[in-house]
Amino acid sequence: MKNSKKNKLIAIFLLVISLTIFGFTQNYVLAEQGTVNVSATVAEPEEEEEENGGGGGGGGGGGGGGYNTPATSVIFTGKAYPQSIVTLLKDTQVIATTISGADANFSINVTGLSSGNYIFSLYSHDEEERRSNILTYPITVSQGIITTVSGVFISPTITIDKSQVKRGDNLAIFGQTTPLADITIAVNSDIEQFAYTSSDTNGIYLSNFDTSILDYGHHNTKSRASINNQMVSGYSYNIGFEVGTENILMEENVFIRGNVNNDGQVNLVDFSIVAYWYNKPLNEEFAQIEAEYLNNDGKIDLVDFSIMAYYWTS
Amino acid sequence: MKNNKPQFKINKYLLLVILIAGLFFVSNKLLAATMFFEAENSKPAKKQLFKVSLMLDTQNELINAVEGKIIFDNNLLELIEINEGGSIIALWIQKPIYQCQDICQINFSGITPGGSKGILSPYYQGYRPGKVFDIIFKAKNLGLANLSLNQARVLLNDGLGTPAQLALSPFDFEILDIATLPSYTPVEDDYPPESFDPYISKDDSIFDGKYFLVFMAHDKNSGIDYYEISEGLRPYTRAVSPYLLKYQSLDKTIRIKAVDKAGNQKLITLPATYPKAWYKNFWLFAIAIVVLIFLAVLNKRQPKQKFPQK
Repeated sequence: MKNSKKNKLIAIFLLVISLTIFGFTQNYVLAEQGTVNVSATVAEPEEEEEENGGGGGGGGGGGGGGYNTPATSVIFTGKAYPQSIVTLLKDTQVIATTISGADANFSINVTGLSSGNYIFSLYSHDEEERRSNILTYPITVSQGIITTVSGVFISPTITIDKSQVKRGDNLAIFGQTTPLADITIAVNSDIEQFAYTSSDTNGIYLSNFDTSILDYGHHNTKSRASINNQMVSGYSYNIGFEVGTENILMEENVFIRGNVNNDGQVNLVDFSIVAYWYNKPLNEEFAQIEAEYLNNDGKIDLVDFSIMAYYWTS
Repeated sequence: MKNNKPQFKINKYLLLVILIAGLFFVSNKLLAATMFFEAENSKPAKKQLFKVSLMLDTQNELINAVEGKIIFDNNLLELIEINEGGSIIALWIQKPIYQCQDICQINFSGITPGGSKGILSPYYQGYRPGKVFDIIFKAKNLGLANLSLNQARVLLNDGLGTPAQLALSPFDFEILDIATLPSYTPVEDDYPPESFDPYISKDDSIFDGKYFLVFMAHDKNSGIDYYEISEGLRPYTRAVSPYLLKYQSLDKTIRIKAVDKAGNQKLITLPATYPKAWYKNFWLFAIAIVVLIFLAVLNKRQPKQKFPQK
C-alpha cells in the first residue's frame, strides 16, 4: 500500500516535471519569436485645427479630420539599438521613422488610418548602418481606436570578421542590440553550436567563436538578444562563412540577396523585375542574376519571392 | 512474487507518464500550418450569394510566401467576385484569378515581407488565422458542392524558401432548396484605395534597359480592381506593373489611377523627372503663335477709328 502511494507520487512528480519542461520550451519558443502585447484605447475626438496624417517618433495626434471624428492610429513601442533610426512600413511602404533613445527604447505611431487589416513592419539600422531583419505585424485596426503594440524587440544586427576562417582559429561574430542584453549566438553545424555573450552599454556585442569544433565547409550564424529572459528578440539575419585552410577577411561591400537591381535595397522595384520573369524562361542575363541573388535553380518561382520577402527593405 | 507487483506498478505509471509527455511533444511536432475555408453560410440555397474566405493558420510558424489553386465545379457554383481587401498577403505575385475549362480553378500566389503568423488584434490574445482572400459565389444548382485546394504550399521566412508543413482542409457543403440564412450582401465600400508610391526605374534585365514604372496600391475593403496610367497629354489606359513608359525622356507628368472593385479611385501624380525647359516646349511656342495670329487677325478686322478734326 505504502509502495503504491510512493509510486503514484513518483509518477505525478514525473508528469509535473515533464509538463513543466514542455510548458517552458513552448513559452521559450514563443518568446524567441518575439511576442508583443496589443491593446486598444478609445481615441479622443480631434479638433479641426490639427493636421491630418503623418506619424513619427514619439509624437501623437494626427488623424481623421472633423471635430467629432476621433483619430484612428497605431502606436508601436519597444527596443531597437541606442540612437538608431527605426523605420515603420505600412503595407510594405515606409510611412514613418523615429530615433530611439540612448536606452534603445522607441515609440512610433501612424495616424489617419481607416478601419481594416494592415500589414505593419519595422526594422532598424545600427551605428554601422547594418540593418536588422524585418518584423511584420498584420493588425486589425478599428475606427476611432488607438491600437498599441508594445514589447516589439528588434533583432540584433550581425556581422563577422572573416568570410573564410582557418579551422581552429577564432571567428569574431559581432553586432549591435539593446544595451546590457544577453546574447545567444547560434552556429549551424551537424550539431548546432551556441555561444553566449552580453552587449555593452552601447549595445555592442562580440563573441570570438572557436571554430575547431566545426567541420570544413559552409556554415551560418545568427544571434538573438534577451533581457532577463523576459523579452526575447527574434533571430538576426543568417550570415554565412566557410571553414577552410586559410583566413579570408570579410569584404566591406554587403551583399544582399534578393537585391536583383543591385541598388542596395530589396523593394517593389526588385519585386517587379522578378515578377516580370515569373513562370517565364529566363534570358542569359537574368539567369546570371537569378543565380547570384536568388536560389540559383534557373527559374523564377515562389522560392525566389520568399527569399526577397526575407531580405525586404522597402 | 511480492516484489514483482510494485515493480510492475512503477513500469505502468512510468509508461503512462512517458505516454502523456510523449503525446504532448509529438502533437507539437505534428502541428502543421493549415489552409482552410471559412463561410458564414455553409448551407446556401439555390440562387443565393454566399461568401467563402480562404484562411491560413500558420500554427506559430513565420510564413512569408503562399501559393495554390482552388478547384470547384461550375455546374454547382458560379464565381461572382474575388476580394483581396484585408488580406495577410502584402504583395501579389499572381492576384487570385479564375479560369474555367472542364473544372474551374482560382490560381494565386503572394508574399508578405518579414513573414506573418496570422493577424493581431487588441480584442484577443496572440495570433488568429489570417484571411488570404474572399470569394463570392452564387449557388447555381442543388447538390453537394466542394472547394478543394491543389498544389498549395507555404514557405518559411528563413531566407531560403523552406517549405513549411501544410495541411489542406477542403470545404464540402450542400446547396439546399430553401434558404436557412439570408443571401450575402456586399459591404458598401466608400473608401478609396490607400495612397501609394510609384517608382520609375530601369534595369538591363527587362524592357531592354528602358525606363519602367512600378506601383502597387492596397485597398482595405473591396480590393484593387485595376490601374490606369496617363503620360503627359495621353489618355488613360489600363496598365499593370511593371509598366514600360512611353516617354523615355521622362519629361512628362505621369498620373496613376488605382481603382478598387467598388469604383473608388486614388490618383497619384508623378511630376516629370526631367521637365523640359520652357523654351524647348513646342506646345508653348505653338500656343504663343496661335495667340499672336489670333490677335493679328482681330486687329485687322477692327475698323480704324477716325478722330474728329478740331
